[in-house]
Amino acid sequence: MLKARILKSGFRAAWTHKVRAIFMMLSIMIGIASLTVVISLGKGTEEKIMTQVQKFFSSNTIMVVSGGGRVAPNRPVAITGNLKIADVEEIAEQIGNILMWDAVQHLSGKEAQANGNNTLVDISGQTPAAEGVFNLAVTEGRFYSEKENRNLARVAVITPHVREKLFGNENPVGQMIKIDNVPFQVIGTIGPRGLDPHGTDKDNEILIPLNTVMRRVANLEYVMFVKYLVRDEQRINETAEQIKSMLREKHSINATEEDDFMVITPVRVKELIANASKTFNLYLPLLAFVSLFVGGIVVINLMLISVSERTKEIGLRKAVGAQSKDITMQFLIEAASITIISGLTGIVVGILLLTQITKFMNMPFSISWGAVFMCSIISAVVGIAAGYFPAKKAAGLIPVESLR
Amino acid sequence: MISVAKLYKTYRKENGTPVNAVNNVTLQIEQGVFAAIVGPSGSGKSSLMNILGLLDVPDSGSYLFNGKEVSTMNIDELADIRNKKIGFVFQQFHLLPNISAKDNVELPLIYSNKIDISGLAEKALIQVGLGDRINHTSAELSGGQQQRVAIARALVNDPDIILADEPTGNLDSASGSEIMNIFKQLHSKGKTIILITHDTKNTSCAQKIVKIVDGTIITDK
Ligand SMILES: Nc1ncnc2c1ncn2[C@@H]1O[C@H](COP(=O)(O)OP(=O)(O)O)[C@@H](O)[C@H]1O
Ligand SMILES: [Mg+2]
Repeated sequence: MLKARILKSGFRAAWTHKVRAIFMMLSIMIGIASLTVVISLGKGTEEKIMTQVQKFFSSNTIMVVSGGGRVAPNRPVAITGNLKIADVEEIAEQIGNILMWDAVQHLSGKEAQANGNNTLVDISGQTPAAEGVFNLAVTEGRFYSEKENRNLARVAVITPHVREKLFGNENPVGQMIKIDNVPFQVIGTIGPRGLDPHGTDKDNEILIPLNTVMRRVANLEYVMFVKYLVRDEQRINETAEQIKSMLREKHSINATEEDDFMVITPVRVKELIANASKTFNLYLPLLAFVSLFVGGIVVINLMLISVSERTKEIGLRKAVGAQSKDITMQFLIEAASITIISGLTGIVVGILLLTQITKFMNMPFSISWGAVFMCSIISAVVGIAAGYFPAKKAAGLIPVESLR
Repeated sequence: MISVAKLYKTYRKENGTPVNAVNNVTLQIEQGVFAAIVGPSGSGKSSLMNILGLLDVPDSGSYLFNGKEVSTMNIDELADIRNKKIGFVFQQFHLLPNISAKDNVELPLIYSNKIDISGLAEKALIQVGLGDRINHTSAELSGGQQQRVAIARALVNDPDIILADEPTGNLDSASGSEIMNIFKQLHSKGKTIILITHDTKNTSCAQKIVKIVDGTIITDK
């Protein structure tokens, strides 16, 4: 009761300087809101990439990719790959932990014609094992067989967008399709898979037996990448090492040379993503902290101006009998209310912005509460300290010095 | 009531030369007395009043307030005496801007240990003739009215002494004499009044006149 009337009087006097108070609250609010958005967006992006990648990269997967950016300088690698199918097969046979595998040769931007329609598609040459290795859902007809792969059969399995563009509502199974003027028979369709982690539309592909692609369509010796699935996930790193040393031997890479391929395990994928999102996780919060820092300086300055402008008020309150603690409590509570109210408003505004932005960018909504609260606490501490300490100093003066 | 002896207060000018604003002042003021402290500008009147009002501390000397030595008290004990026993009126009014007359007058009350303070500020404002200006802010009041708000603030907590430092200094003579009438009334109700002025016209009602020159009392009667 006694304290309440002091606070009421303090707030009435503070409201005298309302323009500055509002300005101070706005700068805290904007700072906290932008921090909430920026840090949370960074985290959301990483989560989005993670889930997308995990869809394509299950925990029992080892990928071996041609070249992979680590090619020795004097070892030219065709962009179509440097992994021999025979080597890939031998590795799978010799390493007991490998359950199954599929090798892929990918050709993009091929012209496909059927039914008087034509469209550009990607060709994915894959072994019959693809159905299991990539977990493909055959929706109509069937997937191609080992025999068809061996005999370089001209058969094709098509995906939703290709089907829609070339056949509309008709049943495509059994129909003919021309790819770069070579006729193929559609034997099946598979369900939608969306974009892969590179952003390639997996629903605009035509799947063709790998050998057919290598011998008939493109005349290639090598594949671009291989996907091995292991039996025992516990031993996946050991298996990856075995693959690596066998490939080095087959590619006659000596001890001083680097790999001309890349072996990717789930652990490695997480590392790669973490590396890629370092930009987000390092620079964005850095940017946010710079804005918090600038905001903090603004708040400190406004608080200092506020207290020095109110020195007369402090002197007068002391002259009429205010104790030192009455003054410091008044300014402490004022500074705390200003920083906390505007900080909380900032969080709310940030969350509202974040919902809109994530909706707009088609991202999952996620918010890093830890970072948001840490920033809020830092700004609250800065704001409160900036209000409290000069007021405490003024409260300790004899009244005549503040009244002058 | 107030008894000071051998008070000294020295300031330093910017160039370092000392100014003896209060120079060996010994003075008694009895309860209920209307005392005037007069002297030319710069003679040390305000410096003395700030010490007498416990707003400032002397460099040396003793000060008994109601028989108690105050030079050994801490700032919060001094604040308590100012709150209960002393009312201030300044030449520059020292009202908080943009808050109402009532809120200004209430200031000494909010720091008092009175539980119920309702109605007291209004009563004090009525006493100084501002019953119709209770919710006006300083900006909406004339100089004379502002000084009356300041007087209401000085008397709201029913102090024993009212210390006024040139209260009419910033006012025209009509408002000035209104203010002086209020002080006379307050004195007739038993308050001790210490009025600082360089205007001898205001000293007619004083029972005790202390003349200061260069920080030193030259007459006291
Ligand atoms: N804070 C201060 N710093 C330096 N000199 C001061 C200060 N306050 C007062 N003085 C000097 O002390 C002397 C007395 O001042 P003051 O007490 O205000 O006199 P009066 O109220 O009689 O005009 C003057 O010379 C003034 O310049
Ligand atoms: Mg003066």
